[in-house]
Amino acid sequence: MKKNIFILLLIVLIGGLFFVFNQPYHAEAQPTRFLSDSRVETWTFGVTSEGSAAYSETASRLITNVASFRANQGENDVYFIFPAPAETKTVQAGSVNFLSRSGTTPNTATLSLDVVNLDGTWQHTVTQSLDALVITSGDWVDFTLSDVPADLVITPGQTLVAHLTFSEPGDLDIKCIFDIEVE
Amino acid sequence: MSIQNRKIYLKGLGLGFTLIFLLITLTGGLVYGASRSAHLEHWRYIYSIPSLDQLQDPVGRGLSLVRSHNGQTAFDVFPTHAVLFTLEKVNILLPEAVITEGYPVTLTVFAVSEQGTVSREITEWEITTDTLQIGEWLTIFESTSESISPEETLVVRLTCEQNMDLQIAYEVTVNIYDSENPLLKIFLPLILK
Repeated sequence: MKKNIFILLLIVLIGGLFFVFNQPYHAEAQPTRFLSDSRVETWTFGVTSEGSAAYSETASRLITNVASFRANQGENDVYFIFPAPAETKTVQAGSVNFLSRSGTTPNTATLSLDVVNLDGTWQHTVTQSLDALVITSGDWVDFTLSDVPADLVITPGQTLVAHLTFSEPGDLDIKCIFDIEVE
Repeated sequence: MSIQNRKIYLKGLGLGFTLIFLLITLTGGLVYGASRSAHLEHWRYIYSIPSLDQLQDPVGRGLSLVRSHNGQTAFDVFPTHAVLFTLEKVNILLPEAVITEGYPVTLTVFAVSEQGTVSREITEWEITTDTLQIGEWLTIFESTSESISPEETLVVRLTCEQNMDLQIAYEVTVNIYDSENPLLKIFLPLILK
């Protein structure tokens, strides 16, 4: 009788320990740590840089969630630089909301999410380009992600940028916010 | 062994097993509870202040991805948090070689009390020409047991014997325990320690 109780207790103990220790944990933490399995981050903050996507351009500038894309600054490429990750990240989704848009540009203005090196060198495009001249202000517009899985990856030493390209100068002035999900 | 002693022995054995069972169940429950109420965050934003007495006065400085400084000591301040969290990892990145003089630069990670005094030093890292790797992330701290209380702020102090012009990007990984369970609030720091 006592032996049976002992065996029963032992089974309950082993089962309990298995249940507790068999929970998901952060892949890069210690194996016995118990962490939430949610690794999705939402990126909204960044720094606007006109002409260069080099990470050093963000030095001493205020960080904000509002990107400013202006066509009259003498540059055809304007970037909203997101924080550089120390671990490999994969873009899961992205959307943009134009808070305001005024003026125009004679030709095209396209917006995409790109991955660049820390020196600003373009690496690959994460999304298909959106036509910045037709997006309605106040609406969240989803980016269409690239079909190539490798295009969605940001590795350490790279950073994600929202890249607006003007084909010609003009007086287009866009203020927008982003919601980027990475994992 | 007499029957009487045998009974006592068996009772003691049963009591022992029961206590062990309860202890394991309680600990497992607490740890499991903690696991379901914790989440990882990566902090990449800081604000910089010239001295710790301005810890509560970040107005006008705002947040910055990277910083540039001409001086001997500066402080990069991370957000305070209303609940307990553990500091898991501190990564730094130097985007480009802008240091022209003043090696070595020492980074000291520490916790600061609400009064702006250093409550404890967590780690120290010296950037020299040997350790400096431009454009590559460097882990300067990794732990599983360094807890930061809601009354503390995480700060990195940069010191240099000469003037420096330094840009540093951070990625600090924290594990935030946002449980409302009062038992966890009591026992979690003990478990983590």
